[in-house]
Amino acid sequence: MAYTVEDLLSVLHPHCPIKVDALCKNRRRVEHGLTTVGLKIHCLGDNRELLNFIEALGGRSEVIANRFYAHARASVTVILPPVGSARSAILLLECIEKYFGHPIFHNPRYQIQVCSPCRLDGPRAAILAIAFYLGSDVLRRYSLDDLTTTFSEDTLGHHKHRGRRIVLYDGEGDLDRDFEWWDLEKDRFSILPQLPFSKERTDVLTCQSKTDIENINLMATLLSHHQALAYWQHLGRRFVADVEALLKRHLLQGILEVSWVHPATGERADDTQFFSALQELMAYAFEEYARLEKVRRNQWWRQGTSDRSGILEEMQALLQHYRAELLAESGRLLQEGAT
Amino acid sequence: MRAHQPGSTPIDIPETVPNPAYTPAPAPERAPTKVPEKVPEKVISGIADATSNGGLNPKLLISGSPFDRRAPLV
Repeated sequence: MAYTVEDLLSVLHPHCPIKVDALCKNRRRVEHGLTTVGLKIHCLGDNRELLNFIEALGGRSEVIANRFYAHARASVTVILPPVGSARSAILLLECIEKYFGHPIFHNPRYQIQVCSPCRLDGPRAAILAIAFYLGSDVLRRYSLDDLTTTFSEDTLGHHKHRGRRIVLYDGEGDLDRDFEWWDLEKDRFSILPQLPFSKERTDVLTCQSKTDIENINLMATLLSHHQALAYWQHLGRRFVADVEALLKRHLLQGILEVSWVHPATGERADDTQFFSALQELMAYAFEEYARLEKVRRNQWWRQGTSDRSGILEEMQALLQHYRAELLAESGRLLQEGAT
Repeated sequence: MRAHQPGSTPIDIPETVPNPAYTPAPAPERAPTKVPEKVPEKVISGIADATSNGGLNPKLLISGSPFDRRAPLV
């Protein structure tokens, strides 16, 4: 049994009426042709507030028999209704934070799973995972255990093994398609009233921040439009090339050759190659962190000297560039539409 | 984790750290209002599916342990 969006918003309304009213109004609004955002909150450990939340939404009769993605160490996983934008997704989580009375963002008790429509193919999923990692406002040192979900190994014989990855495909569940999709029809801009996917999704685990949600939303848009030949495909093509060039400059291009997403072929996953690539990336990023920390500490005598930018700064610059370009073009479209 | 080179001061690095290169994005601009639609009919009919409305349907999963995923949390 599923609770309704209205149930959710009415539970949240007394705690943050203005934000909930904004959500009611704009939940399905797609901004700048960016993809929709689905969210799951995995609670690692006991959480009285979350259980109260569940009771308020209808209680344990809401427990479902089918297996859904959950972090293997999650006591409770809440699937939230999808929304049209990262802004609405963040608003929704802020409302839930208000209800709980404690933060969800940057809280080690929670992992946020961000779900985007379209199953990105292997190379694009790799770009998503790597750029998510480098572009986050938090650098993490993962263990394989951090990436273990109820779908890592399908023990029920449904052959839905997904392995231990940062990026995962859907478990063939449903997808709410009632959102606009910016498309290209014979090279002309068109807006479809529904997503052109039946149920395919690509999810990113271990998100912790608003920046993570915004970055994934931007990158998933660029990559899915590149793959599906939709409106933002031209930016997506350049983004892929830029990330590949960035990795090449840092002699990390080899990590693109491993499987960053399990292909959902039904076969058991081999996580070793992926995890070795992830370890290489993490080691490189933390080395860069150490370098930047030393630069920061020694800034008083380094003032005026030129400094090279590292992989973390380059990824930030890439994300800022593509966000700015997408917003600028969307603004131009708006002007053209208004004239 | 400790990262250092010989002769330099070692830096203790915890497992999760703020990304030192991160700079907050500027405040988002107001979203554009919908531009005039140019929707091809065939595309709409091709993707219509009367049975699909769930999506990431809002549902709750309560799992006990990873080894007994149907057990409710007590």
